[in-house]
Amino acid sequence: MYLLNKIFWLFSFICVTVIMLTTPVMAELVVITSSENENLSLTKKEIKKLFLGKKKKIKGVRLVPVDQTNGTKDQKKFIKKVLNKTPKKLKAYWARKIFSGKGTPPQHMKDALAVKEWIKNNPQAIGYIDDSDVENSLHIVYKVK
Amino acid sequence: MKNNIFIIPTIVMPLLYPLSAVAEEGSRIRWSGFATAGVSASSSETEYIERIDEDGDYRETKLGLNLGVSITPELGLAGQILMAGRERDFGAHADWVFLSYDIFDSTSIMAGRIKYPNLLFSEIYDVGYLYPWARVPQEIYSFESLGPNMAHEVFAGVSLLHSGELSEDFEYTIQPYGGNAPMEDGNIKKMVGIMISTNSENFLIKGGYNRGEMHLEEDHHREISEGAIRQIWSAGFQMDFNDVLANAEYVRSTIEDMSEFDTDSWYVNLGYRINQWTPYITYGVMEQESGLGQRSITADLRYDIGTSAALTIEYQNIDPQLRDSTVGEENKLPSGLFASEPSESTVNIVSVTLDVIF
Repeated sequence: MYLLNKIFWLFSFICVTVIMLTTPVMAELVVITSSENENLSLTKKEIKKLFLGKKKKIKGVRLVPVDQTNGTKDQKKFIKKVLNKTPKKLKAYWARKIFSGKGTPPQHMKDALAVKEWIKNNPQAIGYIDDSDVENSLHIVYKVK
Repeated sequence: MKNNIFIIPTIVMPLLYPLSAVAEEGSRIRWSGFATAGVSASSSETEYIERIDEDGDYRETKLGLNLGVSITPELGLAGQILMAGRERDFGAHADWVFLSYDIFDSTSIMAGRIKYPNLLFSEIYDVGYLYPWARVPQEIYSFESLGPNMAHEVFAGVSLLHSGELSEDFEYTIQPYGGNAPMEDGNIKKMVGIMISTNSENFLIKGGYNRGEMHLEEDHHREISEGAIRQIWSAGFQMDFNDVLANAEYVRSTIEDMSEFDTDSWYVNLGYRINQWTPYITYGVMEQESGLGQRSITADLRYDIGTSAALTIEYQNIDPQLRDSTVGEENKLPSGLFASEPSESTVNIVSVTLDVIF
């Protein structure tokens, strides 16, 4: 019984450790395109330019960004870590563009699933989802650190 | 009436667009909007900027609807329908509408009725949410025919927009343009200008030049000869860094052979963001060779409600200076941006605005 008890505790300890170590990895955000762009790799700066409407083509490839609905966990992370803005500053940035006719923000998709579906059917589209949602038909162009 | 020509394509074009195309390629037509509910009251019975006096005024109130249509990946249409108390008595009209075509990835050409781009707030003159005040500093942005008319609203013509990178952290934008611009009491014809700006994440520097021929209506109240050349130089600075906010702008305008109308205007604005609250202080000056001018101190307190609404309470103290008696009409000499000399030496104006974007 003593041994069993010891094994139980050791097992529990390992489980907890594994969960703790893998959780942050599982929550990694990735920027994706359709698998048709399999050789494409982008820098954070290039992604930022695409999503802020400053560039429409990268390395000669036309890419159309799609965003997630305001307030999703993925979106909050993307705004902070890739666009380096606060939601309020991003909103003001786009308001300035929209109300002077000098640009429109990326289209909003309902959730990560909608982004995935959209990108699968649109080779020019680029979006971001959680690493765990990636499928074979999608190609990762950047991992958000 | 002229504006109705533009409002028709703005409304009709998206309606004509096949719905199947929208479904296939996502939202190619976007509507956005902004609105302000505003009220102002002055301590003086003399009207300021042709609308504010002691009886109170609600004409800061406005509603704008913006449209963006992607016709092809390179060709787009943008427009704004505005209902504002400050003009046309809230009548809906197309404030601006233009077509833009991307020649290269970072260069586009625009044609239509285009908003004047040279000043920090000229393109977003009516979008109260995007600036700290109840109304942008009138020393520079007034459309009053008594004042210097430094700000154009729009022009009908063409423009080129090019942007790029100066270095890792700095971007630049160049926008040359030309056309005709309507004024309250006439037109600026053969107008050409250029706007140049550079910005990083937290700073913006903007410079501009504009010139054109003044053609005033026959019953205008200014002593300006037909076709006189008007020139405007401008420089602006903007900062949003570690919750410290700043806006500063200088504009000089001259009219050919009328040195008494040479005008220098500037303001400096500083703010500090404390969570949802942002207090601001602004000092503004307008000085014309004719003696006309004014100085103002403005204190604003802005409260941000979420990411799309803000409430602003503003107190302004204005010290107007009278035009010399050698120019202007008899019996009614303008004083600063007041129609005539107020009985008080300085005038206080209190304003409250609620701004939203959607």
